[in-house]
Amino acid sequence: MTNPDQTAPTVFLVDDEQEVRATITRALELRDYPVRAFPSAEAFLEWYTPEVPGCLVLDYGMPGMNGLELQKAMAKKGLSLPIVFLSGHAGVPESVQAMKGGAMDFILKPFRQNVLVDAIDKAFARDAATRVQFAKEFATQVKFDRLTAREKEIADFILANPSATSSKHIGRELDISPRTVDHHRARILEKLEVTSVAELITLAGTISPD
Amino acid sequence: MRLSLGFILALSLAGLQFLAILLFVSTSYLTSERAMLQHAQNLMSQAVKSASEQTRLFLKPAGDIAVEAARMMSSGVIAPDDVPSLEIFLTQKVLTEDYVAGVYYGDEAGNFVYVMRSEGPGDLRTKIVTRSGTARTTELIWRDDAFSIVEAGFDPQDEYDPRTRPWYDAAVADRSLIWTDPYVFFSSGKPGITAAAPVLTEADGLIGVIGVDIETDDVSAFLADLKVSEDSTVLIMDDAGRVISHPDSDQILVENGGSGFRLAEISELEDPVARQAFGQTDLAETLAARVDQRSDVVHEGQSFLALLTPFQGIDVPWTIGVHAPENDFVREIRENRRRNIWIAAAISLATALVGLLIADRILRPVRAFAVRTSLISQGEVPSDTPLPTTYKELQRANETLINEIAQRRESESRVSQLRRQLFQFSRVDTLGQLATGLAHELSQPMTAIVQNVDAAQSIVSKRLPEDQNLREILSDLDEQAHRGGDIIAALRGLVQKDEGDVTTFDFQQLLEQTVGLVQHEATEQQVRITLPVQDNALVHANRLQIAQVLLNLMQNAIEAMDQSANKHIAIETTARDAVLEVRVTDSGPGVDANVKLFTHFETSKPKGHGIGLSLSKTIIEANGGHIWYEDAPDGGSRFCFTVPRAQELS
Repeated sequence: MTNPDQTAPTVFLVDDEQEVRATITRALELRDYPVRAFPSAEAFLEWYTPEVPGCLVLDYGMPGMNGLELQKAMAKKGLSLPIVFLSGHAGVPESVQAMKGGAMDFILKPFRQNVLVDAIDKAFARDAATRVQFAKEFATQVKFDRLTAREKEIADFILANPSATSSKHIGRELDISPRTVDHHRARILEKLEVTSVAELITLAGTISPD
Repeated sequence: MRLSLGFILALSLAGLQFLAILLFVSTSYLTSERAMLQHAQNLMSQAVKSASEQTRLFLKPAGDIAVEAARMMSSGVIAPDDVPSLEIFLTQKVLTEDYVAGVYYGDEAGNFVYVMRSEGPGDLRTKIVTRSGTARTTELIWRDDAFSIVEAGFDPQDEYDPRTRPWYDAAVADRSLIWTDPYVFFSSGKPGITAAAPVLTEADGLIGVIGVDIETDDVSAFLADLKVSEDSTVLIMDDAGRVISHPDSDQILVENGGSGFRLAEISELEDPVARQAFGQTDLAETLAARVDQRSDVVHEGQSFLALLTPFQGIDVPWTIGVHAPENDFVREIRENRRRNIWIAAAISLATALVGLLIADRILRPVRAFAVRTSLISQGEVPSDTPLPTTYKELQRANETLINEIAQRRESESRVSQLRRQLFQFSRVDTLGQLATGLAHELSQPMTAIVQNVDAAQSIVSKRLPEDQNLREILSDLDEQAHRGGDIIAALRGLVQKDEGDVTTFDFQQLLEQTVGLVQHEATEQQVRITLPVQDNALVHANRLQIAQVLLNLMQNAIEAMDQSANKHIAIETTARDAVLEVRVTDSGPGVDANVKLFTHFETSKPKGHGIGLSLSKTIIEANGGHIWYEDAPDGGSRFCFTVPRAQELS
């Protein structure tokens, strides 16, 4: 096992069967995937922090918290780590459940190694995309956070009414003078590092409404 | 044996009737018998009083005659030596009363005048004994009722001397009226007694003695008429036990050793009751005590009442006895009682019959009800068969019964339906579950092989020069492992068809029905099963598979507690978010920590094959839950599993 650094995506393997855990870890590491293995869902949950990129390779049937429950627990905590399920069972309902819960894949044991590797690669890609998107959103959010309360009010009004963005109109609605609106608008564009209201609307579309 | 209601009813009706009548009859019998016997005693007392009085009246005139005559001679009205006048005087006295047999006068000189009734040749006979010095003459004169002489003569052989007679001595000794002991008159051969009174001078000097003979035959005659009851007997005895009078006067006289007759003693009577009642009594003592003496005598099986009382009024040592058969007084009552008992028996019999009829009438609806109930219980007629007209109580009982039957049928049919389904299921499914289990178990080592092959290939590919043979071997190995994987996949396919059978159902209900399946076994092993109380337990799973798991766990628990003193299975459920957690806890010895549970072919049971728990695991996981083991707090084992709740999946 290598200690995953901040940038290298890691395979997080959770399986209660020691033999399975060891062999998968060894095979993946030989294929140059950093792997961190856990014997139970609980152990993983305790260790994991959202900053670490990668994907989760999760055995479906385990004593204690099973795979499906771990999936739900992660969703509840807002952890977006992609999950690849492994299962000794061919249960259609459980695979449906897992996929409904946002799983990347549901692979039956035993499996061809390229199937797992493909799934892991896809999961890494999804995780990376998610993280880029998250970073963008985070940056935008940081810009929005620079606005004062009044500026935020005006920006929200503009975003809510993109067809009525004249200073006069905004001043009447918010009971302030159009000049003041003009002043605020200039400050908003400056702080958000955009040049027009159209750009402001595009920027706001990149973050999820909170 | 349990008696029929009708029989008891009739029996108690008749029995009570019989007892009541018997009680009534016997009390009335006892009181009336007592009253009658009391009455009999009174009658007997009266009879002896009457006998006493009549006898007194009978004797008194004789005494009066004697006393009167003696006084007249004492006073000189009749001169003792004037024989003709004396004869006339004495004749008058004889004729005073019929039963006076004779009157006589004897003096100190041995002179004697005696007038007596005669049977011939005249009605009366006078005997005159005259003494002068040593010479004596005895003259006999017979007269008719007109006092004319019919015949006269002398009797030179006569040696009669009044002074030697007992009556004379007694009167002289007593100086007043005396009564002799009864005896048989020599001349008439009849029983009688003599009253004798002394003739005294004014200076109390003795001149002579007047005697009056009376025959006591007549006493017997009137005693014969004196009846206490039909068969009663009144008799008079003297203090020596001689019988003076008896209704049957012939019994009184017995031959006296060839020289005439004497009075019979009691023991010589032909009256056995009298012999028994009075023969043993000391009559002198009874006389001295002057009290009535009652006795009961049984002769030849018949009871007799007897009464002995001293004679009063005249100074004679006599007692009067009376005896009468008890039956004379109570025969009618006894017959009445016998009749009454027969009547009572007849009434009881009749009542019993009526009782039987009534009981039969009363019981008819009950019987019909019982027959119907038994037919229903045997399932020969449906339980909703209309109830025949019957009693309100039975109707209510019937309603309860019908409800009970309906409920039981319903729950039985649910349980047996589950049993059928499970039987079907386990036949089809055990193999499938086994296959699934095998597939699962095999998939793990197979995965490890595949991973190791992959690892080996990676290593080989990085090594130069490449070993072509090794590459091919590893490639083959990989292929073979995947062939194994395909077989596993095929095995999995065996159970795929069951998995569409997922429904939403009430877990509580399934649990109760499943417990119904093991209830018989549990009861036999004295295992107590407690269930949770939970209202909303809708789950979404394969109902039969979950039932199979519950059944496995409960049967395992029952087997595990085989040697336990306290056998208890507690089933609890807790709703946790999306799942229902079920805990099956037993009071057995728990599971050895070295045993790997839920694994195929590993078992802690001597006869188990390790498939039950593994199957359960397969089933539970296939249904989206999981199953695990905990040690129960008090040392038993606890198996827990989860089932998805309905609202999360629907």
